[in-house]
Amino acid sequence: MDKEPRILAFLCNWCSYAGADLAGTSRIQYPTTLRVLRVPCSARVNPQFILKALQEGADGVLVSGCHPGDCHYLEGNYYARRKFAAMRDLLEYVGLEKGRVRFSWVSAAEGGKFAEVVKEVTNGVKQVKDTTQFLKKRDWPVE
Amino acid sequence: MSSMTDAIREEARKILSDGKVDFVIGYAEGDTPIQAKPVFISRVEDVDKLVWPSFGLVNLATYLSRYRTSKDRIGIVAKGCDSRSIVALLKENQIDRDRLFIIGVNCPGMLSRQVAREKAGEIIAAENKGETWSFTTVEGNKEVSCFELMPSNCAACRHHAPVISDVVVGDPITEPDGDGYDSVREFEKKSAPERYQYLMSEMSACIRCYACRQACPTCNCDECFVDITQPRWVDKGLESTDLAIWQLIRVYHQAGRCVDCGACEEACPMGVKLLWLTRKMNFIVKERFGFEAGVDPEALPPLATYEKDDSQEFIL
Repeated sequence: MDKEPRILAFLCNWCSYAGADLAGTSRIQYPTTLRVLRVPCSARVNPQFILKALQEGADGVLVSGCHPGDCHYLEGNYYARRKFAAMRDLLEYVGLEKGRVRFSWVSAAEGGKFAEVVKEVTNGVKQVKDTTQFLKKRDWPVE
Repeated sequence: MSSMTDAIREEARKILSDGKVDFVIGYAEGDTPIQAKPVFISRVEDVDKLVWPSFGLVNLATYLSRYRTSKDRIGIVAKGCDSRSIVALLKENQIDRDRLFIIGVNCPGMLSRQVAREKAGEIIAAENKGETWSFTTVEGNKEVSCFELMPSNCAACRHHAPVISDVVVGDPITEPDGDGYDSVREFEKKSAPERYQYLMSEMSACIRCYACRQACPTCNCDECFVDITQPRWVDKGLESTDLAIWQLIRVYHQAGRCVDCGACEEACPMGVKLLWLTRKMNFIVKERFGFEAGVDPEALPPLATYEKDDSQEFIL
């Protein structure tokens, strides 16, 4: 795709959001493609959110949480991992282009990794040929 | 088939006259050809309405969650898949085991009305001639073999025998080789755009009647996500992505609960193919989490538990 992609990022409050904060305060440069949505935990992200985001015009979706074992709620990300694994496989099966829905673990101390993840995800979304998959067709203009 | 019918009637008669149950859920002869309808028998003299059908893809466990809060003791005729659904419901505390009397049936596989309609058209009358069925349609007569009428889920079935039961009728059946997921592997060979195209073209016929949901034993939420208006997850109407997302999320909600009974596809008035999706969900759950719905009464549902070393090759 030619235009600047718009990626919706669900970042968990305790790790990934703080990681993004650290990337900012450390003045690390990374693409400005993310629209961040702070959630209490990666397990809060219902797979419906992902499909809804694609439907409403997100070019990509990133869900990021704490590393396994680091969850603020002890085991939220373990459950999240299972949910995402199942959803990811199902979406791949129905032909969603690779690179549109991504997952990552970023801790509060990994500002550098956060920037790398954003670069990786942005590049991935830029490779996607058809971002209109699952985009809702409306009879009226959005925005 | 008739010996199965007799055996089911006898068991039903026994439990009803002994007062073990308040009613028995089973199959009765339908009002139209090649249709079996569910029937609730509460009096001994009505027991002869029960039959063992050839076209009984209705999953009788669907009705159990409606008795979640009642005190009724229920007898139920359960094929292999129905019994797995019952296990799935027991796991989710939808019904008490001690209120149930399960008449398990070693099911040789059902025939599909949906497939019959595809092969022969609108059927006015039908007659079983052993290995084939003779259908009378508006265009004339047509013979179709039983083998051709078997739905894809029965052909892929590896659990013909009931998982839990109080009595079992019918002769044991040897399970075929393989895991039954060949159709999924075959579909995966297509390119991604082709697969997306297939999803969209199949779902474009959907009229949002929710018959698939109503026919499904594990679609038993009091309020379905698709009916929620605050927030409105899926818009009303027949926009193509709404249709696709509705079915994708419904299938996703069946992760580790779907027993591949085929009731959803059989119930669809528009002939939308659904089993290619539900079977993939089952395949994912089996491959990733080593779980099969309703097979092990003790195992925790796969999305309600986790292993510390679950695979995470897809996570950055």
